Amino acid sequence: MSAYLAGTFSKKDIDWGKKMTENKEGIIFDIQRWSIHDGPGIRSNVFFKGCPLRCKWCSNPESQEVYQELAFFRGKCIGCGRCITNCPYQAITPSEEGNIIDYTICQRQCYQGKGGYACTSQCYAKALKVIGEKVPLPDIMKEVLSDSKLYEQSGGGITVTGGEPFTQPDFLLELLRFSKEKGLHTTVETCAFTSWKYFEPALDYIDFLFVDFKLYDEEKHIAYTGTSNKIIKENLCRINEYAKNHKLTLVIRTPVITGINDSEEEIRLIAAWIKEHLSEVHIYQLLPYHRLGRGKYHDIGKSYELEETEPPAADVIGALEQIIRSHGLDIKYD
Amino acid sequence: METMTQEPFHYQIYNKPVRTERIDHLYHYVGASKVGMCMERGRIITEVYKKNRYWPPILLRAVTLKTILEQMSIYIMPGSLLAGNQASKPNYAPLFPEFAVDFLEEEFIYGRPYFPDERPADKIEYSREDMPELKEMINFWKGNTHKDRLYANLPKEAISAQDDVGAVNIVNFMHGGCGHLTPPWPWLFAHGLKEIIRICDENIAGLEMWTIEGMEKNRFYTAAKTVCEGMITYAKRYAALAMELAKKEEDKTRKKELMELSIICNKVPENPAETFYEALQFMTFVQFGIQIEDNAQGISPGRFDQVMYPFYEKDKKAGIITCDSATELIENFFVLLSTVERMRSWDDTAYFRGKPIFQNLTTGGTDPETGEDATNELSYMIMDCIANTRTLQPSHYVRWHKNTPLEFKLKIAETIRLGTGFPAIANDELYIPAMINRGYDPKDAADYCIEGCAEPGVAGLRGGRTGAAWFCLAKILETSLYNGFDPRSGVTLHQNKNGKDLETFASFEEVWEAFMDQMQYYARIHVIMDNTTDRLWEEYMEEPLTSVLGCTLTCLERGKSIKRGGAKYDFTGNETIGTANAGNSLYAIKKLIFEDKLLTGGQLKHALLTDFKDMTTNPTGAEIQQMCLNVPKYGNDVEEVDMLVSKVLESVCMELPKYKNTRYGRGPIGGIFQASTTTVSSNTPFGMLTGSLPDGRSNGMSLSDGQSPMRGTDTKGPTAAVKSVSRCNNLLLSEGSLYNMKLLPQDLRD
Repeated sequence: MSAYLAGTFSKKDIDWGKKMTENKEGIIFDIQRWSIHDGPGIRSNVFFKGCPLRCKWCSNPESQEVYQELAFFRGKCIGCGRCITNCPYQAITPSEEGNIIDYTICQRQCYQGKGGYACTSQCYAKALKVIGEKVPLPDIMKEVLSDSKLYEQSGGGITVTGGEPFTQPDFLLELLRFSKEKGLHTTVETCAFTSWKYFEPALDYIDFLFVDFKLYDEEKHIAYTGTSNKIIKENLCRINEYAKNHKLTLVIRTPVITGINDSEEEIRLIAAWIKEHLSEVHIYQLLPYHRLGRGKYHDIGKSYELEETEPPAADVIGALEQIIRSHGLDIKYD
Repeated sequence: METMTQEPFHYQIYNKPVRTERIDHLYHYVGASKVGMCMERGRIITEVYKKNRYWPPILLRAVTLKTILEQMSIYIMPGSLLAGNQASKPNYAPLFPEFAVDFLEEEFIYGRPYFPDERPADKIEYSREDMPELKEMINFWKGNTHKDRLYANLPKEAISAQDDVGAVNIVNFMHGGCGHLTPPWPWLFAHGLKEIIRICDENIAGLEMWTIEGMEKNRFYTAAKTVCEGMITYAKRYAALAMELAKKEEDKTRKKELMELSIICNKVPENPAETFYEALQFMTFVQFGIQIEDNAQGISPGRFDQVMYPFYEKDKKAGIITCDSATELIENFFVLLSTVERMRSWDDTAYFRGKPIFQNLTTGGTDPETGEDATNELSYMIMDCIANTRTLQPSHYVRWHKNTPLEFKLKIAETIRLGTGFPAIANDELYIPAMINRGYDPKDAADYCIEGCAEPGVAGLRGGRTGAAWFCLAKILETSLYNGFDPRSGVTLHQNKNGKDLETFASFEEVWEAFMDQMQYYARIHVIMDNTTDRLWEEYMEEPLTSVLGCTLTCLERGKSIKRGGAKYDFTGNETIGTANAGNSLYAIKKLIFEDKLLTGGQLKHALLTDFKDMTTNPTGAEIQQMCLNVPKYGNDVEEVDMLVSKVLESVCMELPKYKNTRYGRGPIGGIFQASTTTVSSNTPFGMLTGSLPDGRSNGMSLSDGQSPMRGTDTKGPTAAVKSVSRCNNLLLSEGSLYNMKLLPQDLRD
């Protein structure tokens, strides 16, 4: 039976009397309906912009910075050249292979709030697009709630993801509270690299929580993601304490990257750590690396470091999942 | 995540069908026989017409069918538990020269545009040795076919609307009868054809033969009796063949099977069916018989699980059938129906790509008496049979409603997930009220099944004329932008009442007015074409067997065929296509020209006429196309554009019922036109005839199908698209509303 039908959607003590801060705005870069791999049922994903980590395999590079960025989808460009004349900073130049954007100029100008992305104003083909937008809470909720019938039938709801939702903690809290008030099942995908003072109040409004555990070794974690995993481990233990007397499904996930964390030893260490410290966790899921985000680096003028990395083979994942099972953990949540 | 290359088939979830040895063998036996042309029916009908061509049409049609059923080659496929065939070999299409021979001559004799066995798609095999005989046959019929009569009868502007402008099209109904019905199986199984013969005799005895009415009725009853006798002979020939094969058969089990089959073919359809097996063989004969009569499509087994369940239950209790043996019989039935072929001209194949015949099975739904869910064991078995056989025919629908059991819904989803395209889902909560709204008795409406592509009918109660002319809204919109002128053909059939075009429209209201004006004009042409076809069918192509097995009780009571008003319910359908293109285009005009004022009407008109290719204008053609493409589109849960599309469709739904069909006031309930959004594959050929549109679609590209969003423009995923589609006033689409939804295989994986 779905979580929705089981009645878990109303489990929290929602402070109904408290007026929601409807005028809050969040910086988001997409709302994706029909999301079926980010929590139970059919869901709508709200993508927050901004992330404290810089994982080399990140499949949403456009989510990393909290500020707006310019994307150029070359395949859509019809070469009309209007962007070249419209940019007041001469950041775009034509070439045989299509327009070339000098992103250092963008960073100094439009990314700082100047210029207003004039290049996009007459881009009828929508090849140039500003990534990230300040959106008022009611607008997000309107889009999310337009599929509420399907959530009811499928046990789905809202998934807040990103980027890292906790880079905008106040807005996240309001969005989650608002969602619970509307009776939605809530899921958050996080790297848990945030202050506990932000995490703790949000937990009351989360039904389902995905926390990434990317690498066991702290040094390696710093090398590949740019941050230590100490806070992440601490937060996980605290969430576990919380989950002992609250209804919260906590799922740990590891993106498996060939040559970085695809060894049996790595997964064994993480699984053992989960068993030792996280009594409330029953599911440990692997997310095999894919290259779908690769093109997006190019689109926003960034370079991709894992050009040569191949997705892990099915049997590698199978062997790793066997290790997880041998620790008494499930690998799927539904 | 696995990569797509690891998928066994990129289009379907890998899952092997489970077939018994018999079914697997039959499946491959049919598959080994290529699509071909069978001369036999053409040969026999030519002989009969040579002898009797001036007989009253219904008697001539009756004696023709009877002779065909007596003389055509019959066969029983190795291992088959059921008997019946339409032509001399599986997948061979019989000839219907009485309907049209022009394309036979063009294609078979002259190879224009292709010899049928050299077509780029939908090839038809044939023997060159038959060509002299075919040529002679063509010469006999030329000038006196149904199609010739139609061209002689139709007003010039109607022909031009089809052949020049390409806004409406009835080519499909120039090549055969209308079909699209479901026989009243329970009555037939309970009484057998001998009861029909008895009723005919009884009625003939009481006729006032000296009156015109009496003479007409005498013709009908005599014809009905003749074809029923033909059907009984047809069955008995199989009985004899089965017995002959049994005698030669060395395998003891097979010998026994053939002997049993022989006994059954001797019994049905003459006598009532008493077992599941007998009922199924009865149904098989009727399916083939009607299709042999006049090349009709959409001859549907209907609510198979409901009709067959009493037999299944009884036989199971008696211990003469099991779930497994019934499953095998149903699968055998499916494979047998898959042998049916239809001879289509090359032009017509574009409208019916993939050779759909529309022998529809409808599973699940509600019980019309109690209103309760009617899902039974057979409903589940049918889903298994679909998964196991995966034949293109029959086609399948399930009826979906509030109380459909969750496990059956899951079973349906699992079957759809295989990627065969079956079953389609019909929504009870939409179809039933839509039918009641047109005058169906609520109990009859609750017993509906799909007959054809998406058109609802009721077994034994609805006769003709579903799936009538194609009605291309995209083309109609195009003509309204040029004051009635069609840029491709250079023809103007009807000028806008306001006399304006895209350059001179002063407001969006004037654009809408012009579009409505053209739509109403072409709706009238549509009705003229359909009613002329109906009238000519009535006068020359009556269908005694289709009438007496399709709408048995009312036809027998009234003593007349369906074409003269023999059915309980009679509506003429419509097939509206390109709805999304028309709505999106209107919205783009509204937005770009009258609201945002990014373009003038003159600029857009020039861009459309130059297919967005003129790079000397400012903005350039390519830029204008991008502006057009980036206006919000139907299918993304954007209320404003969705409501405009809905309004477009609603206007068609309100316009058509103003017209009466040829059976109005002659007996049936209804007797009017009604709209549907069925498309089959006609969005491709109509697209080839339609120029660039303000929605950004280039000249000649395919149009949107059904009431689906235009391909590639519904970017917010299926949930948003479904919400848009459901904004249409589907209640008015009493001839069927169709939304084709495609999902990524990886979204449907475990």
